[in-house]
Amino acid sequence: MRRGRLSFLPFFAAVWAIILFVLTLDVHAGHLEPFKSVPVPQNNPQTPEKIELGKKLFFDRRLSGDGTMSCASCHMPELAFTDGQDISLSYPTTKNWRNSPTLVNVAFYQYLFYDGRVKTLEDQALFPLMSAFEMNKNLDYVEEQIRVVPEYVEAFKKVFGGEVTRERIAMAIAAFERTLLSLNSPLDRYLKGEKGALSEGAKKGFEIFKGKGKCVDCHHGVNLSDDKFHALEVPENPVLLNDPRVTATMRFVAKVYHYDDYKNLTEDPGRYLITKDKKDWKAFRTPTLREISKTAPYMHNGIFKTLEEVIDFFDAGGGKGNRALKPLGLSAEEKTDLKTFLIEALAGEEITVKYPEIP
Amino acid sequence: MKKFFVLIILFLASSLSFAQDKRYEVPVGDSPGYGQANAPVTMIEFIDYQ
Amino acid sequence: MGVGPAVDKLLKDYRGKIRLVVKMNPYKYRDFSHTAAEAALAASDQGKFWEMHQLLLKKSPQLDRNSLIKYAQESGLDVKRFTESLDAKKHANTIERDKQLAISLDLYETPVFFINGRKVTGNRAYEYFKKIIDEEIKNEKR
Repeated sequence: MRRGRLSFLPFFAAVWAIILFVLTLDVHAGHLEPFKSVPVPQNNPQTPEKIELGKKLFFDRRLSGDGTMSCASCHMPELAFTDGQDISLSYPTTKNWRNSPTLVNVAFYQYLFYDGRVKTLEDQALFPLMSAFEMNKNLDYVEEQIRVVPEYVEAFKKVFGGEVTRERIAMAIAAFERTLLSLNSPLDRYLKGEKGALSEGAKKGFEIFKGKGKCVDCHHGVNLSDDKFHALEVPENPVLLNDPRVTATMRFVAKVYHYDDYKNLTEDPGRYLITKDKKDWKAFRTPTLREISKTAPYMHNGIFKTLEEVIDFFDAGGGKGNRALKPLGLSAEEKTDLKTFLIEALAGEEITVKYPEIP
Repeated sequence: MKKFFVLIILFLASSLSFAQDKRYEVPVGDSPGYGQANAPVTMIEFIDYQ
Repeated sequence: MGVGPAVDKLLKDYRGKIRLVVKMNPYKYRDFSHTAAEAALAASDQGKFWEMHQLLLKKSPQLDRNSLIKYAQESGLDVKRFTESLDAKKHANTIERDKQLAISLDLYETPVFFINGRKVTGNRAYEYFKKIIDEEIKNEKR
């Protein structure tokens, strides 16, 4: 009898230990983490030769239909791997419909593209090549074009132990993209315990970021993104309305994704295009905030030119009719502090990319 | 303290504008062009006619 | 092409305020890029660079040897001198020098502009240039 009662003790102790452990883990949304290492898939390990090959392909204009564009055309090293436009540049005579996202820390995303249509950089890399309004390249053809370049043939043999294939082109580009990282930012140093890494203003801004501003609800983890899709009802970008070339682009994408009524589509359906789930209508993936001071204009359609506009949008509780956000009621000073945090704390070391010699 | 804060902001603003407005030294040399040599704005274009 | 009309309009709207300098950066995998650059520089030897430059932009991609000779005629050039210069690749060194300069500046496509040293890559709209040029003119006045 006595013995039986005592046996409860270890049980309670274990339950409490688990509860305490979970609490210290702090796994709730809103937890920020400093950079530790970049995730690399097992089937595409990083090697210096592969990264160098990927860099060459990234800058190679062979990858576009008319030889005028490379990946770098819309992801320019000097513009934090964006193109600085509200709506991304496009294949000559066509129009794009979304903003060119930064490639900095792209390795951390679980979903690529604003609509999350693929889950790995290896799957992502060939999409803009094939896209009629981006690089407009035939993949069968690009394989043959690269196979007639001896330097490339040799590099593929060395890196992959085999011939040029479209999959390996994508793998090499993905490996290069995984080197584009925001490193050693004031936020990273602060989270690792360096108290002086943030200025007083940035510290105040950080408190708003975590507290009253509710930014961490979606912008958390190493990459300051929850990798989820949210419909914020961002205002439409007027340049996308009433331009038949944009209409053609959006209907083309919708058709490819088997959107039934693509012929009458006049707006960007966002994640809905992929899932056909009502809750995903006009939902777009949360972007990283790393290097945000260099990646303007903002949002999937580049509608906001400055961080002030972005902060005002969230402060007002997002766009008309959205159910994701609520007004924040930030004071002018709080907005300034938040902006200071975004600009100052999230800027890592400059990424320098030496332009490679293209064979 | 307030002064310090202002200084930080100013420093940030200036370093930012430098980052975005990096100026490259590109020699004009004897390259052809259009317009007056003493114009306030010199625009050097690297071109491919095809 | 592409950006040509925007640059034209800038030169008109900012007459006397902008000077355009052209550097050659022909892409090795285009058939007529190099000869077109030769043609522009050959015309420059005869003081008719601008006429040829505009014709080349307008007629691109029709830039084969016969077409270039026709454009020389239209521009009022000494056609014999022009053709000799073209065939002898008289300006190969200048073109190579420009290309090396482009490489040293990490340029990976055309066109690229340096507006008082500020870099603009790729085809941009008129307003994009206008903003930068207005800033530069304002800075100059200060």
